[in-house]
Amino acid sequence: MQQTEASLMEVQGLSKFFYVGGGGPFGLGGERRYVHAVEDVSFTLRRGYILALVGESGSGKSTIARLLARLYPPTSGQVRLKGRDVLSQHGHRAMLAYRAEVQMIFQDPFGSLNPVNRIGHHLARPLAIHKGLRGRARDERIRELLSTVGLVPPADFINKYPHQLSGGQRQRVAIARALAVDPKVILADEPVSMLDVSIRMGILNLMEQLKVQRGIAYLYITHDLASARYIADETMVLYAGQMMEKAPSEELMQQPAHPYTRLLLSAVPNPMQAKRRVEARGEIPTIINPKPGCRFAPRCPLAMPICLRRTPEVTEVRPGHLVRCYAANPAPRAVQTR
Amino acid sequence: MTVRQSPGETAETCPQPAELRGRELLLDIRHLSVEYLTARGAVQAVNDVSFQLYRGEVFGLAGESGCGKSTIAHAITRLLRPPAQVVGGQMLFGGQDIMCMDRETLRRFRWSKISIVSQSAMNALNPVINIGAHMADTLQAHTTMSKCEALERGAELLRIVGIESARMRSYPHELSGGMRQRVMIALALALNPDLIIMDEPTTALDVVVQKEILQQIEDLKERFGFSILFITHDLSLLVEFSTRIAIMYAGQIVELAPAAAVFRQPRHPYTVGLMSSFPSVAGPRRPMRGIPGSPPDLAAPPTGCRFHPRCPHAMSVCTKVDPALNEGPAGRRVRCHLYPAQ
Repeated sequence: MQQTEASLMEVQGLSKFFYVGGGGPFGLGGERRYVHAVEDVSFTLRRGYILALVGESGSGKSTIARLLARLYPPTSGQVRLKGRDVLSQHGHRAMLAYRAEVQMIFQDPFGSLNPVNRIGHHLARPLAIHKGLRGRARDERIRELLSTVGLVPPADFINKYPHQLSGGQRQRVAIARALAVDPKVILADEPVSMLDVSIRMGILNLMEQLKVQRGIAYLYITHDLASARYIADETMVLYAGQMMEKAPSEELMQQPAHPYTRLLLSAVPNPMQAKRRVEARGEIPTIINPKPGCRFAPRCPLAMPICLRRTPEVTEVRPGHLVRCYAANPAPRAVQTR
Repeated sequence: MTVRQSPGETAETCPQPAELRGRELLLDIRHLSVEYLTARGAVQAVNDVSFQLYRGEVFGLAGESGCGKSTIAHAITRLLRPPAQVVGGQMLFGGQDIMCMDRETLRRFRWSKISIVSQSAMNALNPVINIGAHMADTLQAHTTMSKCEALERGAELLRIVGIESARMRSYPHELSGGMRQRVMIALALALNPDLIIMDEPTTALDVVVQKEILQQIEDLKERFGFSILFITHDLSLLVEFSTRIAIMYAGQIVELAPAAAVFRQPRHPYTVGLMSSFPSVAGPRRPMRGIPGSPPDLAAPPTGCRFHPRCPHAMSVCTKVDPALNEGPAGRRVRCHLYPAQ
C-alpha cells in the first residue's frame, strides 16, 4: 500500500481470532477453536475522507473499530498512523499519544456519558488530560466545542446532566468530547442507529461538516447502506469477518460486483423500485476454525464448486474497486486448469 | 392557551378511500386518547386519534419513539396497565366496542380476532420452555384442543412460517433472531385472527432477514386473508409494504394518506421532514436535512400545533391554534394550517 500525502492511517492484513475452547485441560479436548471475527482486512483512512464499513451483525465491523481503538490487540496485522507503526508501542504514554489522534464515538449515547457528571465535566476531562488546559482557558474551549457541535447557547448545556438531554443532543456531546483533543481520526461505531430518525441526518451532516472543515478522517461503521452512500466517500462491505467488496460509495451502490453486496442492496427498503424478491436464505454463520472456501458460498446464488474449495483472492475489477469473488472476474489461471 | 380547531369533517362521516371501497370495516378507532399518570402530571401519549382499518389492508402507523404508536397497539389489545389509561374515545372491532368487553369476552377476543407480534422476540419468548410448549400453551388456552392435537397444530404452524417441525424441541436461545421472530408470527397465526398487530416486528433484525420475513408476512397474508396494523419508525419500509399510512407526531396523527401519496407528495411539514431523513441507495444523491430540534416533552407539549417549534413553515397561528386533521382529496387527511379544510 502506498503512503500518499493525505493518507493518515493504514491498516494492513488486520485479523482478530477469539479463542473459544479446546486444545487443553480446561478448554477441554479437541483442537483449539477460534472464532475468526476479523480476517485479513486492509484499508486506508485519508484526511478529510470517510470510509464506511458496512455489514450485518456478526460481520466483524465493530471488532475492527475496537481493534483500531486499541481496546484489545489484533491477532495479526499492521496499523500505521502517519507512517508510524502503532501496535509495537505499548504503555500509558503511547496510548495517550495514540488517543490524542484517534478518537471514538459509540453507538449508545445513553451509555457513553456518565450519568452523574455534568456535560461540562465530560468535555473538561479530555482537555485536562490531553491538552493540560485549566481554568478560564478550558471553560472557553468547552464553550467553543459545544458551539461547534450545534449545542447553542453553550451556557444552557454546560451544567446539565446527560439525562436532561435528548438522544441527539447526547450524541453531539459525544462528538464534542471526541473533538476536544483535535483528533486526526474518528472511529464512529453506528453513531446514529439508536437515534430518532428525524435527528439522524443532523448528526451525519455534522460529521460531514467537520470532515470538510477540519480534515478529519472517519471510519464510519454501519449496517445501513443508504447512510453509507449518503456520507461516505468509499464503502467496504464485510461478511463474516472478511472484506467482500470495496469501492467508491456511488460505484458500489450502482455497480455492485459481489453477489453479497447485491443481496444487501436488494434487501434495503426502496420505494422507488418495484418490489423484488430476495432469495438467499439464512444469516451470517459464526466462523470457527474455517475451512478454505468463500465464506458467502453457502448462501450465494452464483456458487461454483471452486468457491467451496478455495478462498477467493481480492482482485481489482476497476481502478479502486476491489472484490473477493470468483464470479466477479475471470478466474485465476491456476484455478482454470482444474 | 391552545385553541382547538374542530375538524371540518368528523371521522365518523369520513368517506372510505377509493382503493378500499367495498371492503368491510374491521377496526374503527374514534377519538382515542390515552394518558400516562406520572409524578409530573398526566402525559398525553395519544391524543384524539381516529382511523379506520379495512379487511385485507396493511395499515401503517409511523412515527418516532414516544409518538404514541405502541401505546395505540396496546390500547387496541387492552394491554395497557396503570399508569396508562384510556381517557377518551371508542374502539370498535367489527362493530363491537373493545373497551366494554368483560374479562371472558376479552379472553376469547384476543388471539382469535386480534393477535400481536411485538418488537423483541427475545423478550417475548420464555427462555425456560421450548418452542413446542409455547405453541401448545397458546392453543390450549384458547381452544379445546388436547395437548397432542395442540402440538400437532403447533408443528404445522412452524412449517407455515418456514421452520422445520424438529425445532419444536428447541429453546428460544437456540434459535437465531430471525427464527424467533418467525415463531412469534406462527404464534400470532395460531387461531387464524382477522387482524395481526405488528409492532416493529423486524427492527432488531438485519436487512436481509428483515426482507425475508416481510416477504413471508405478505405471502401469509395472501394465503390467510388477515389484515395488518404495521407499526414502525422506518417510513421507507412502510411505503413499500402498506396500503395506507398514518404519520404520528407527539401523540397525534398529523397525516393519513395512501402509501404512494405519502412517498410522492408528502403534505405535512413533519412528513416532508421524515421523507428527507431516509437516504436512499438509488436515485439522485441530494443533501438531506432531517428535522432540526427534537420531539417535544409530552408532559408539557408546545401550545398550538405540536410540531411548530421544529416546523420550517411555522406561522403565528401555529403557535396558538392546534389545527384539526382536515379531510383532503383522495382519502388524505392533514393536520396543518397550510392545508385548511376544503
